[in-house]
Amino acid sequence: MTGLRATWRSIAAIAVVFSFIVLIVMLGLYLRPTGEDPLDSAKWQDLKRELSDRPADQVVADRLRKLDLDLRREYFGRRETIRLGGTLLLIGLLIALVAIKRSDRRINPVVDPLVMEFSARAMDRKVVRSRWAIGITGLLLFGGMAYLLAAVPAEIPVPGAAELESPGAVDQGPPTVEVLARQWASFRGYEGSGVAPDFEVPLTWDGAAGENIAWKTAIPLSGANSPVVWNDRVFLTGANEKKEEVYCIDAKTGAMLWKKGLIVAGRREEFDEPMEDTGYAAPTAATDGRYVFVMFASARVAAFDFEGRQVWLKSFGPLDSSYGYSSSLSLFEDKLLLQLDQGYRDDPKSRLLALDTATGKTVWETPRVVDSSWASPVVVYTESGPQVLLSAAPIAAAYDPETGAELWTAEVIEGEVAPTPIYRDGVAYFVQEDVGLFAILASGKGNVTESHVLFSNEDGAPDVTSPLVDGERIYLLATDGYLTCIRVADGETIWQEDLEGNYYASPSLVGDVLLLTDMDGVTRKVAAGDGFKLLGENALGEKVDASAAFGPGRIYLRGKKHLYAIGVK
Amino acid sequence: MSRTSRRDFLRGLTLLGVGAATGVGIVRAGQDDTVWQIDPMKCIQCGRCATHCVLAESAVKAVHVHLLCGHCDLCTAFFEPEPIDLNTGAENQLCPTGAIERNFIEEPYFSYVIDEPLCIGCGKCVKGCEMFGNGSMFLQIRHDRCTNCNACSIGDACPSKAISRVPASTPYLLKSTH
Amino acid sequence: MKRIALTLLLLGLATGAAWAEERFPPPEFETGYELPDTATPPPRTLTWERIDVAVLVLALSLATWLVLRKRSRRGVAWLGVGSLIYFGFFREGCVCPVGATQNVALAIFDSSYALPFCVLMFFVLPLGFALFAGRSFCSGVCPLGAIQEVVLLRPVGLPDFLERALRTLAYVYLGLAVYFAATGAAFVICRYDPFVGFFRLSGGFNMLVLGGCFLLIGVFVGRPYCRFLCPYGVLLDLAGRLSRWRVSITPAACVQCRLCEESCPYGAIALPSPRRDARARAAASRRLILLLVLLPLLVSVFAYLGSRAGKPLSLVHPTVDLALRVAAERDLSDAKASDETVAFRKTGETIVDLNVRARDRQAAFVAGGWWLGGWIGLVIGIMLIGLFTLPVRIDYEADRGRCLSCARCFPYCPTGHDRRRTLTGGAA
Ligand code: SF4
Ligand code: SF4
Ligand code: SF4
Ligand code: SF4
Repeated sequence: MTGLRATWRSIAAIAVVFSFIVLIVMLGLYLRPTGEDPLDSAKWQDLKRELSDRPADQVVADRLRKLDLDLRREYFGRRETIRLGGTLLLIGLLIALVAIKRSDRRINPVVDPLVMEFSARAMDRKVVRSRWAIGITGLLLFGGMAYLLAAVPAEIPVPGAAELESPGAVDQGPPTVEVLARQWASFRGYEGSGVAPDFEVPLTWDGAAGENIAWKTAIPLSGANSPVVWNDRVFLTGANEKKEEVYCIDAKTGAMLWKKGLIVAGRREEFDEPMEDTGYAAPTAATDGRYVFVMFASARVAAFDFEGRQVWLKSFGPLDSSYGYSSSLSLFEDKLLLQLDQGYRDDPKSRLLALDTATGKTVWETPRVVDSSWASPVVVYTESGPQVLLSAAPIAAAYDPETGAELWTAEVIEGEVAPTPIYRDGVAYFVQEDVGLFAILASGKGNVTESHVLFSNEDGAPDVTSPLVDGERIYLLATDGYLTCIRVADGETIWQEDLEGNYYASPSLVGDVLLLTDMDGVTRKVAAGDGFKLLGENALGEKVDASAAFGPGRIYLRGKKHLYAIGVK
Repeated sequence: MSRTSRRDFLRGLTLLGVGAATGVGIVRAGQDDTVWQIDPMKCIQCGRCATHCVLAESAVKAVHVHLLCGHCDLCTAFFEPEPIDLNTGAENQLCPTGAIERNFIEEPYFSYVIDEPLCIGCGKCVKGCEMFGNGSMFLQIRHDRCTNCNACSIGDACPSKAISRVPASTPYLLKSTH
Repeated sequence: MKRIALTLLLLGLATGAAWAEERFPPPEFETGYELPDTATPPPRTLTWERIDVAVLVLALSLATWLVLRKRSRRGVAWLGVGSLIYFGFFREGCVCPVGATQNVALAIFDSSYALPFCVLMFFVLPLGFALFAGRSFCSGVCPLGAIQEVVLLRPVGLPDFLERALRTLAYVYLGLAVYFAATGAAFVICRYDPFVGFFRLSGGFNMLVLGGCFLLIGVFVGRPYCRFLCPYGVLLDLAGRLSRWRVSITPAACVQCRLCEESCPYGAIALPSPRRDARARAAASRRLILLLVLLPLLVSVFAYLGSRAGKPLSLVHPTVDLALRVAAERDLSDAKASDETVAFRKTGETIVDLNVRARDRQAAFVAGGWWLGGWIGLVIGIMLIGLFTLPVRIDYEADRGRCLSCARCFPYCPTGHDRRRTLTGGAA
């Protein structure tokens, strides 16, 4: 018996030593610094460089090929060795285990019943120690969790939170162009482009389910105007035949900060009831960070300060506009610009007006020989200076916002026009349903009809919505959902696509995604690019006529009854 | 209540719970079995497929759908970015293990076939093919090798989360012509 | 001709590297060249999974019979080795009931995840057996247990307090594993399975070293993974406490000879409790009431802490990790971008949408954190309460929950020897 046991013991010893050696070899293999694959070798790369310098050198090429072969051999060889080593180790350990168990039958300790202490006191001592042990374990776990939450930062940024937390101070003077470029201070934002500044906003939402809806606030009176945004304030208006109201909403929470009716002294003038789709509050407000300016179908224009005090009020009515007046307000430095195009060109009542923002007094006034227009004036900043662009039959026109002087005109517009002009890289784009799209170089003087029109394109011109340009392409969205993409370089149509839904809201661009919101409140996301690609749809669950507005961390969509802020809570 | 009957009661209760859960599980488990696979549209060829498989020789290999291949002379999956010459010399090859066979078919076309036992799934060729070619080469988990781990350890490490479970009846996500 | 591809290539570059583009239209061959097929070897595991379930049932029944009826240490030991070879080395350790716990947790919390039938069976069957016959799974079937069982050469007992403290870790690990699985973050049990590398004879260096350490410790401390970490062991422990039949050290009546006292390498033998006087018992029940009142407090404190720890813990989730990575790397140059952010940019998803998804996950972690923390508090609390109550035990008993049914203690009992002697005609 003992002889057998001794044999087992020596077998065990041999097996242990053998396994140990295998283990060491394997460790060496594992730990030796080698690249992930043969070509990571520095030598290989040196040779390759050498060969690139002297491509014809056969000696270098041969050396490299030999090295390559060696490296590959070594790589696969090593893999085989590790596999073999693993198996050998396993077998070695198995033999060792069996041998050890065979050589030693005394596996478990045996108690000597006489020596062991066995009493309530001993038991209690054990229990007390265990209590401490569990208590300390609990404390350690507690400490571990406390450490985690104290020392591991895991805050995911909330889009726009910082900007909403510390809104830029309201400036004393009129805002600079740089400041304006980061605000959504008037219809379709800076230069009326519809292009969102690089705010971080979610592009997926669901109004009914509340997904990515930061808040939703009921708006008492309806209106076709879009919200305008200054840092953490959102302004919009609503009206019916009796009341005209301005709303100021907290961008962070959606709370209605104030709601003011227009204070109109004296007699209220009568005016024609506007068409239902236009409504009593179609013009979008404008703000310069100190005041918010509003206008209604009644042709009353008013300024409120940020606390909701009415600063001044002017009335220009009644206006002769067949569907109801809808031109939005535009701002240039300390001037508020009004496009009062009305009636017909043979009975010229139309004019472009600049009011002093502080007092409402007229600074200058330029008469215009045009028909009624439902488009809005936009101030754009060209290389040769600022211009205000106006679209009304029969002319596309630009004026100096400083003096009101006419800069250039092009006789290209006919009929009724609602799309607002846009501008990008020296070119102004005008759209009218019947005549199509015109690209006009904005550097001309006087009548530029023959000289500065770059191209025109009749495809898919919308009757209501304004165009959008992303720098390389112009997008036109017709009311019936026809989306046309035209190349800026040559004016050719790149693609056309018939989208579902009907559209009054103008397109907007966030990054390289077009947002197109139809009247049912469904926003279609289309990739801005040389091919049509629908990226998805978001439903708001409420009808929408107004164009989207943007602010830090938020997209604002005005439904029939509510203002929605799309963003992260 | 005595200890035993309390235990019986609790056991009955537990059995009921486990039984109900199992029943629900079985009803819901009616679906197909699943295996891991790489979505080639998501994969960015980070190289972790070669190193993170639990198997020493990764279960991931490059596959080539020849139908999509342009059979170009200058194949960016086969050749280094700056090949010295367009031949099969080791200095020109991108594959670290020489796992791609290049054969002349007819002027000016060549075939590129992957020798799977040599491929280590590093994805270098895939990157080349995708960046400049047709993307006809891509990485796939080969099911003759994969042990179908409960949690694929490449999947855990994959930066693009390209690895997910797919029905075992369609175990590959091959690219196809549209 | 040679460089035609290069010219085409440059053209391709000019139009931008889009995805799966047909930059070079596949040619029509004139020489009748046949395109080779792309081989798609089928998955090899599916029929095997059904066989696995059958083997599992068989092994469980056999183990139960061997321990409870046959009382054969040698039998279960060999059965364990057999299971180690089949489930471990042959089937390479996946799927096992331990890991299946996570699949079940995920299936409960994510209705889009279809739990495979075999996985469900692997989870349920050992538990079902434990409810009736104790943890025969651990001794005769589990490959993780068996590999530790075979290396146990020189068992040393751990002091009681250490044993208990370490045992809480398994409960915490179970909580964490369910937490991470339910939130869809990771299957941590699988990720940190120390032995699967041995079963496959390959694996990451760190995992092999970790597994090696476990085995090395396992030479002296019986089955360290099973006792102090295994999450499924916790479930089996709980089920085992309710078991209908149990392992009993003695086949006849305990004569209090104390011979088996140290025989269990897993600290699973409960000693008879000393006699207590009425005063001590009254004091104990007063303390018990106090502790029961304090328990909810403890649980709430831990639950609150758990919810607060939810956010940091959510870093384990790839979406949260990605969101933070992207946030951190936004201002870095492209050259420094990690693979993760490169892959993210390729998807075209906006950062905001990613952040929204990540915050949604984080919310799940915070909600789950209440439960995780509460569970930890509950475990600590109940363990403490257990230590403040006075047990009433007359004989040496294998603890229903902790006993792994290894049958090691059987030969120590003299009454058992007696019986065996009578059964085998006095030959042993
Ligand atoms: S780990 Fe993911 S991204 Fe990297 S090569 Fe594999 S599948 Fe592709
Ligand atoms: S380059 Fe990498 S993935 Fe491609 S064949 Fe070679 S080893 Fe396989
Ligand atoms: S499932 Fe396992 S074996 Fe298969 S590819 Fe993933 S890590 Fe490798
Ligand atoms: S059977 Fe005996 S030796 Fe084995 S675990 Fe149970 S009490 Fe311990």
